[in-house]
Amino acid sequence: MPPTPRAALVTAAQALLLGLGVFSSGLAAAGEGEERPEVSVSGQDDLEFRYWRDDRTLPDFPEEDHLFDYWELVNRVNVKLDRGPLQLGVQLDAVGMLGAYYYLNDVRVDEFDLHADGVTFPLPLAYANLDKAWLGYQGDSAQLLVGDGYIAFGRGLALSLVKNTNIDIDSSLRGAHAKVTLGAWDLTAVSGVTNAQQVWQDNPNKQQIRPDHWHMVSGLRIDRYGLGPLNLGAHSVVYSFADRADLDAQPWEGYGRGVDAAITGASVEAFGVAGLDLFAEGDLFLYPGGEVLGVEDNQPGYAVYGSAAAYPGRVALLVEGKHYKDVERVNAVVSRDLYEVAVGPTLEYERVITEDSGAAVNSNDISGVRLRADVAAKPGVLTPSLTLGLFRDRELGGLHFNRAPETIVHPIAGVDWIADSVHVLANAGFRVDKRDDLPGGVSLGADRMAHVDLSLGFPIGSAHGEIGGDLRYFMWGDNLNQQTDFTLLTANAAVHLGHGVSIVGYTDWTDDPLIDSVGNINENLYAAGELQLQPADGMTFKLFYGAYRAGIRCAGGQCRMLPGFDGARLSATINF
Amino acid sequence: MRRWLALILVFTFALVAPGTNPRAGEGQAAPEFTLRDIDNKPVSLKDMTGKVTLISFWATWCAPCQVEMPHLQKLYDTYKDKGFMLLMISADDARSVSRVKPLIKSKGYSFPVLLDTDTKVVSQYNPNKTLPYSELIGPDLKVLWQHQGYTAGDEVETERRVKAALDALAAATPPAVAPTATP
Repeated sequence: MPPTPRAALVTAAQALLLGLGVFSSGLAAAGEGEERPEVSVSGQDDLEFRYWRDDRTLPDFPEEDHLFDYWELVNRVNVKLDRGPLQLGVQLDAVGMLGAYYYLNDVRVDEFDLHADGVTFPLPLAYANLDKAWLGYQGDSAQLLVGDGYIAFGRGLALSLVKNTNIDIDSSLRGAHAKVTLGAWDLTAVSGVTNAQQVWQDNPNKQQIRPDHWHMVSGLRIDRYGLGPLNLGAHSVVYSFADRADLDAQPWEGYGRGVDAAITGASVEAFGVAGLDLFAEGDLFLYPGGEVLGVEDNQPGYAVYGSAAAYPGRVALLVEGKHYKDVERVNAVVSRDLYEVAVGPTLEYERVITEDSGAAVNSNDISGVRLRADVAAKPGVLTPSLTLGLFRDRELGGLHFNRAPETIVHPIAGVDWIADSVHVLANAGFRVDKRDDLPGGVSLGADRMAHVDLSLGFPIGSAHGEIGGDLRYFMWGDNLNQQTDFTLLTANAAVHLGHGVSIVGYTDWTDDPLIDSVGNINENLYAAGELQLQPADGMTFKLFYGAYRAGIRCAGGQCRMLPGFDGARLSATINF
Repeated sequence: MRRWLALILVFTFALVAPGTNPRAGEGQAAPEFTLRDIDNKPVSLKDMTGKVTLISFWATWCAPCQVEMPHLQKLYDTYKDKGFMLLMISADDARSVSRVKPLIKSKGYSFPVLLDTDTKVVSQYNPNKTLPYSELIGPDLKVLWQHQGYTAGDEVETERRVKAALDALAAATPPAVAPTATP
């Protein structure tokens, strides 16, 4: 029987009270007369108050009515109590819509249903959720946590449930986490269910409040440090995914389901061997219940990743290599909820990942290498760099634009110059995705992209100025989503007036014919302004008005299509 | 209408109630952690007892962090022998952590750099993970000051805070007994 919202609330409250009870009595074991640690209460509040403009209208309604405009309030409060080695924390997320309805023949019509099937709340256009809660213990040789925590093994290939708020992802593992240190050995064990955030902090929440889908994750990792210059590690992780048929299941029911994916791997790390820092990891992916992940014949996958760094003279050299085959499938179910549970290093420069190259990042059949050299021309001040990425993407179909395997070449040159009050951070690159010819010698050409990133900082009297931006020019080959060549320009200029006051102007320009947003100045041009205030320590306010374009954004190997925005926004971050 | 009012009140409370503490976080215990540095040595916050410690969260992909770093290196060079410690905690996760040490080496920085690859520590100190983010920790491991972001000139206030904390530490530390002069 599915849990009712009331039952879920009561359960959460009981868990919280239990945690508080344990917390308050946690130091009862301390001897008589021993000084009891004080309780510290601290936290952070993130508030956004957004006005969404929408130019759509309905027949017989005057255009100036702006029927579909609405206000959205989003709040996230984190509170934690620390007492000696114990910590209790909660995160409360809430969203409310104002003015998201209109009257048709005196009957109120809500513009959208905020709650997806399986989500209920007493108010039709609001939702609040105790999204995270945890009780932790931090001892000298043991770290224990019950509730919501974050975890990654190795380089993230087998398990990587970490905060990625850069693209509005906060999925935790709700369960038990333990790390025990025994001399040179670390033993890490986790077991629980995935807990994805339900309230988006940066993206529109309309029609997006979905029920939690409890996917079971259990993992174990052993590390042995200090074997001479070596660290050795081994891990195993099993996943059991809640398919759509299991959406009403209780969290613990994941332990009764069959295993959909099992990953086992090992890593070795060496420091300073012949002047090199080395890391290598290999993982084997088994899909015993692979049909839920779209794996035919349950064929296994594997991943190999390695890096080597050397520091001869004033040069820092980094070489990374990867070969991933059928590893991305482990994310097939959770990606529908816009997050991933296991992602390895992509080796790609993420600021220029596009809809096309994003598919290569998440390819199920890709090999690649990335070389980067930084030179301390003037240590700490002037650092030029060269990067070269080489990839071979063999996966076709799906999100991929390519009908044939492609070879990707991506050189980038950059320079960092950071003086006392002036800085220049700049790079430029050119990426070519060259497709193999089809049988019969049919050429599919190549997708190409030229890009420049720039950030300048300089004094303006007693104030300080910054100019930043990036320019990308796309030239398309012959692909299924044929597009005309287009340009993307994003720029900003800021003046920091001191005393925590800054004024920022933003502009986007693009002639991308497939973009999912429209400029507020004209069809191609977007403009916005923002006032930023820091009236006190740990307190930031931002008032934004204008528009920015839609587009893909990637961080930490994960990519999301972010919608455009047109309207006003007040955001506040307050530490307490 | 009453529903709207209730909603507004809830949000207003959430915003205003925390704001009643204008000196954010001051006096609170800094969450304990143990992380490995880029040379594989474990470092715990409790090892910093008796020192003034600036914890600064950053990442290889964070441009303002790169601009702030030379100032933090100067701060470290100036005060490291006077009871000051700087802990630069990289919030790069497992997927980009390989780039951390080469970046530090390429700039010639010598401050300690710790790795928080599963984002546990940054989530404790700064849940919204805005970078850079700094906390100044006193010798009793309580928070003295918090600061979000970096714009040019912020380093002046950071140094003022560090110097004030070191002055307070020096004032609270009994002077060492001078060795008895020998004939």
